[in-house]
Amino acid sequence: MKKQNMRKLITQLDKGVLWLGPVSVLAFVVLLTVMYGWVGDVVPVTGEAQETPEVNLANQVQVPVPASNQQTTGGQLVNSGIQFPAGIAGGQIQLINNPTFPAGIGNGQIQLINNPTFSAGIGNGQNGQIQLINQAMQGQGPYMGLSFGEVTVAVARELKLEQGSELYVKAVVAGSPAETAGIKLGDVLLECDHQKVSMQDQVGAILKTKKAGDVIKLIVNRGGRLQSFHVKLQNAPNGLVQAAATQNPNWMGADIQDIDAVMKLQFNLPEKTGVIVNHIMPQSPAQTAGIKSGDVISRFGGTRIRDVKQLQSLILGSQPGSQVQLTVFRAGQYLTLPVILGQQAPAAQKIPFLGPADVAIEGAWIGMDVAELSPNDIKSLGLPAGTSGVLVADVEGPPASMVGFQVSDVITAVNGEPTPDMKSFAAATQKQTGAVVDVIRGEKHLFISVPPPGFTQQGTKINTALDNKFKQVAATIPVNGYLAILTVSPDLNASIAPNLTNSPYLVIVDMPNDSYAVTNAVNQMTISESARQYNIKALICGNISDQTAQSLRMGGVVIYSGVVGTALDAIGLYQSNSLLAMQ
Amino acid sequence: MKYRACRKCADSVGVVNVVGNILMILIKGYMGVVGQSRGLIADAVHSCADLLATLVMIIGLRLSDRQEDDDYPYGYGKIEYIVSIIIYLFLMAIASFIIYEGILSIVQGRKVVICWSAAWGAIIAILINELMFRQSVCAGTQINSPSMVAKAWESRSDVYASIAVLIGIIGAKMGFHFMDPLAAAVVGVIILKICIEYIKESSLNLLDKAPDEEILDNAKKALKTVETVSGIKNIFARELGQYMEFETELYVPAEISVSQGETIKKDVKQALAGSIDRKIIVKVRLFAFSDS
Repeated sequence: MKKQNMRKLITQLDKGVLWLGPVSVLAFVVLLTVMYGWVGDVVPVTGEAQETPEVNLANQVQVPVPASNQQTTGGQLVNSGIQFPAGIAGGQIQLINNPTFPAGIGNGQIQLINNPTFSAGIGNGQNGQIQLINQAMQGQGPYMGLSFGEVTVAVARELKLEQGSELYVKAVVAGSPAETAGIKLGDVLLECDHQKVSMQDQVGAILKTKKAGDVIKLIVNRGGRLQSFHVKLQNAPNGLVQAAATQNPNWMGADIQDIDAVMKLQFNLPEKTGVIVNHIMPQSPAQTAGIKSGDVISRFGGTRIRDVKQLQSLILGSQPGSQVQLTVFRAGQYLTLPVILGQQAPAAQKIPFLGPADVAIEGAWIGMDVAELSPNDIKSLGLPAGTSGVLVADVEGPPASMVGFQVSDVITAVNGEPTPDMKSFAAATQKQTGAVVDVIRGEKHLFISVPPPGFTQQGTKINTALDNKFKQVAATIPVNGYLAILTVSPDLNASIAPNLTNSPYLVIVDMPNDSYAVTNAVNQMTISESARQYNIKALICGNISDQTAQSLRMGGVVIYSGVVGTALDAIGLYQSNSLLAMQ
Repeated sequence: MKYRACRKCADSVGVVNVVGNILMILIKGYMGVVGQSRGLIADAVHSCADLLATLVMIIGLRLSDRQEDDDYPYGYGKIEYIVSIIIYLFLMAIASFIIYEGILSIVQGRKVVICWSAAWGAIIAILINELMFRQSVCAGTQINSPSMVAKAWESRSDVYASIAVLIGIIGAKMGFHFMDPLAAAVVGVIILKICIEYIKESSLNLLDKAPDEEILDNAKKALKTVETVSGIKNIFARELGQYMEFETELYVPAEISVSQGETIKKDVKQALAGSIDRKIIVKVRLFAFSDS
């Protein structure tokens, strides 16, 4: 009976509806077919070059600017966004955002920290390519074609790795066994030939026991996932070794570095790609040609220059003694200068070092201590007499350490404003968000970009792994607080208070419970009492007097001083062990 | 019949098959796309081909229920074949594409990154298929319907396709990247085979191919039981949608009256209806029988 009823129902259905069945199935078949064609083409690989959304720095800075300032434009806007104290750059996170740097130069970020200048045409040992060659020669065994760098704290956290590995793949030689096997830039090598590895020496030792033609298995962490590859080892190609033996590559005599977004903004450059000249060697072809520090090289012959690596390879590929038309951008206009490439390689400069004990610290900025340059310093650093500037006495932590400041750097200008003394330095650094700093290091001059808080030097917004998961609880509840941060306003996004004099607020963070509480304003007198009351074990602040620090330490509080940025930034740094405790 | 529920169970076989097929298509399609397995997607297309066969049959039933009209005096019985030819030609193109793409990605040595969810999709599909097969066989045996059992065995081949896909996925997961596209190509060949079979069958029916000898023999035997028929001049039969149409030319004694002739026609229709297990249309033409 039931069946008959159903039959009737079906019969009653409109004939048009009946056609829907096959038509929809056919439509589904078409969909499946499209998917079928699509599935095979997509090889989802994380860690490959990903276009990071380029953020216009100026626009981003515009957001927090008060309404009264809205009529100002362009570069002025940046300067008026005073709400941002120059803060945490988190340059290390840049590694994740934009992991591909041209092979052969090594990772740009690491490079910047270790040695921020690239001598055009000369491999100075820091050059990735030379490292590759060294690896091939030292090993005496077969080669893979990989160049490694240290795994930074941020990368380790992103990939959920233990820290301490130095096997971050920062370059893969084109056509090498490793490239053939599928190893990519940004991989972190975990196992080599079934052995756990974390040091370059370990890899070298394993390779020594192998010969060309052997296949070894590599396990890498790529974007948080483990992947295995089989590498068929080869002997290092002759070309590589010969390239290393060449002592006289072409030489122009200008130190160059990549332009970043901060520089583009501060120097009002037309493009965000290109290279900027930071230092000219005396008696070099570049000097003869009239190239000056601060020039932006936009064309080499007819080729548009995008980055340092490209210019380097162009110079290396040219005939020694040949003349090249170099187009540079200087003071708002393009100039074309003929340069004759020389063949002279300069000796590496030894950078004089001034111990931090020798100088009196007079100020602090973005995580470093600075002092006015004294005549004694000028002498011991071997600088030309009459040099005036601000000496970096100690680099304590991010962002200064990340953007590449080193102890004994001399800051001569900030955003083009000369800083001959502490007063002008304080003035120049107070009213800026992002800055390009003129630095003299040894006998060289270079530019260091300081991005605004929350941005990288490329102008991209930092992906803070830490979003505001913290919920606020009332301070009256006895919070089991361990970490406290001194902030200018009672908020987790508030900036860290520069000192205790303006009655900062105490934000108490309970990490295990993801909660925080805000106390009433504190001062030098009450802070120790508050610390006891809330059981504070660690305190993050901008600056603190020795006396107050002493009394807090008596209460068992670990103090992290000299931190800038927002409270949330500070929590992130604290969690990643990036902060140094005050001794 | 073992249990009283068996009849109900047998009645539900058709619906279960359609619903099961739709479910499998959705699971395979989704898991295939999410898990990036070409084999599983191809298998989903395969299930689509099966489902389409059922749907076309249902449409055929609906359409041939429609009474013939002035424009189409013979009814709409053959539209089913035309529809199925069009659909399977289309599926043939799809199957060729699947085979081509599969082989292409083997030749180019493309790396496939398959997720385990694809394997689960294949496993679920195999389970559903197997359960449907068991139900059909059991119900078919219980209600004594050989055609249902035969159909069940026919649909068993779908399980083999799914197993091939599962092997392909596991192989690809183990690093033999060619195995998943290979499974896809194999499934493509199966789809192609199904298409060719259906197209062949439909076009032969369009050409009014004679049915199996067995049907005609049974019909002849049935006709001989009608005593008033003196002999059989000719008997033809053809498929017409869900109907089997018989055209019989019979010898009858010359002297019988028209009304006696009508009685004979009625008897013949009855006899033929008993000889075959489906709806029939019978056309009878009578010829005068002379001893010479």
